[in-house]
Amino acid sequence: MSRLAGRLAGRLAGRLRALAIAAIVIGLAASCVRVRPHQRQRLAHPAMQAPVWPAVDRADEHVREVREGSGGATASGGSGCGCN
Amino acid sequence: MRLQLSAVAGLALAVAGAAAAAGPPRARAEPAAPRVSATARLYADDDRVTVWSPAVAATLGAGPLGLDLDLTIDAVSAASVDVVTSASPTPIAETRLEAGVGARLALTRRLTARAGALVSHERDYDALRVAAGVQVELAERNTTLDARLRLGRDRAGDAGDPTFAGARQSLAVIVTASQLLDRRTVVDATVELSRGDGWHASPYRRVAVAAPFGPLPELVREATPARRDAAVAAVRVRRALAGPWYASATARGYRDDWEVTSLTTTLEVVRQRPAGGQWSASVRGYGQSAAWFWARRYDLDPTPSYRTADRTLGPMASLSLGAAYDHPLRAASGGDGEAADDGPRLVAALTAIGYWFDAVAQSRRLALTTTLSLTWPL
Repeated sequence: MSRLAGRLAGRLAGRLRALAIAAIVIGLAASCVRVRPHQRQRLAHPAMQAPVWPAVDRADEHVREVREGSGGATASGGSGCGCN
Repeated sequence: MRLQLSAVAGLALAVAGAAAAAGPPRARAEPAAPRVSATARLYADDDRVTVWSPAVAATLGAGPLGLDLDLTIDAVSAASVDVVTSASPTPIAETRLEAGVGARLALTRRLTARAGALVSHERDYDALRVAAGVQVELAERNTTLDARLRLGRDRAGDAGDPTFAGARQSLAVIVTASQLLDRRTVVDATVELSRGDGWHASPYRRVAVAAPFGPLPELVREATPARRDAAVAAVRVRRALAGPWYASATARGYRDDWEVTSLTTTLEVVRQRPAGGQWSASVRGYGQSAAWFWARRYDLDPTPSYRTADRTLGPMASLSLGAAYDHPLRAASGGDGEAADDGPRLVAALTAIGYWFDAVAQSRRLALTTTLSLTWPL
């Protein structure tokens, strides 16, 4: 199961990286949708922040840094486990 | 794989240009909500590893300046198969201390500068991370750009060998763009490029290298390439659904020059409770391919230049199921019954993680993390 997941990850990761870069470029250019401040009630809700609970997310991310061979591009920044 | 900085440099210039166009400095700034929090986390897995981690954090603010402080202690108790088969055949107990400080300064209404430092220490390992960045909001805050530079320095030692010392320097550039798509949807895209130079292995892991006709394998020290370049990209969509429901979906791809490739997908659903507070459920899938020098078995003739016993550099997968509950300790102050974000809160979270490794010993692992966090406004 782990080898199958690894092969799948290999195929999709490269395409996903290109998609993310394209999303950044599109985000810079996409000024055509303007959400006015008085229209952002749902967007301002605590459930819409990323991460929803920073302390919990930081704790989970710390576990992943130790148990997984990759990391980065997270809301918590990532600092490595600082351990042997 | 070469570290492609040209695209990032171009984007950094775009950020700088946007910052220059953000307008003259103004006195108004985004106030930081002062608060303190205390968090306790317990990690335990079926490989007899437990980690107890109490932490405290504080957010302070005065005008345009915000300050974040945090302190975490990891008390590790491990009788893992990775420990008892290494150079240290007895269970270990280890304590790690981590302290961080961060500052935010609102330069204008739309431009914020940030800087921070994180240091960690344990008996045989020290790490330092410093980071600085800027965030700019454009188009009436419909678009947010964030660029960050992070530098790191690690020093590894060997508790049983005072003469051993391994050092590593690291550099990372992280760029994030957020865009409002409509009144209910936000999309974020993050790209991180990093480089690590120096010691990446562990002085405690020994690699079994088999002689062609010998009865017993020889245990040799782990050895990995000195340089590791990585590129990560993540896309996240957050959407306010009908009624009290919210959802987010994240996909992240990773690739480095050790040929480790991974894909992570996360889905989270949050429901707002009528009396305040919220609960969430999440699922996370992770799949990873092996480093090019990873092998289940190494032969002695000749001894490979690079060899590792680190199961996290081999093929692996994991599945996480999480649940969290956020309870306000005071009644909501909002008139419509929705939760107010200005009172003390208690968050409880539970995550179950299943791991699958391509390893001879213990190819599967089950872990549980429990987190309790209390936040109190100042």
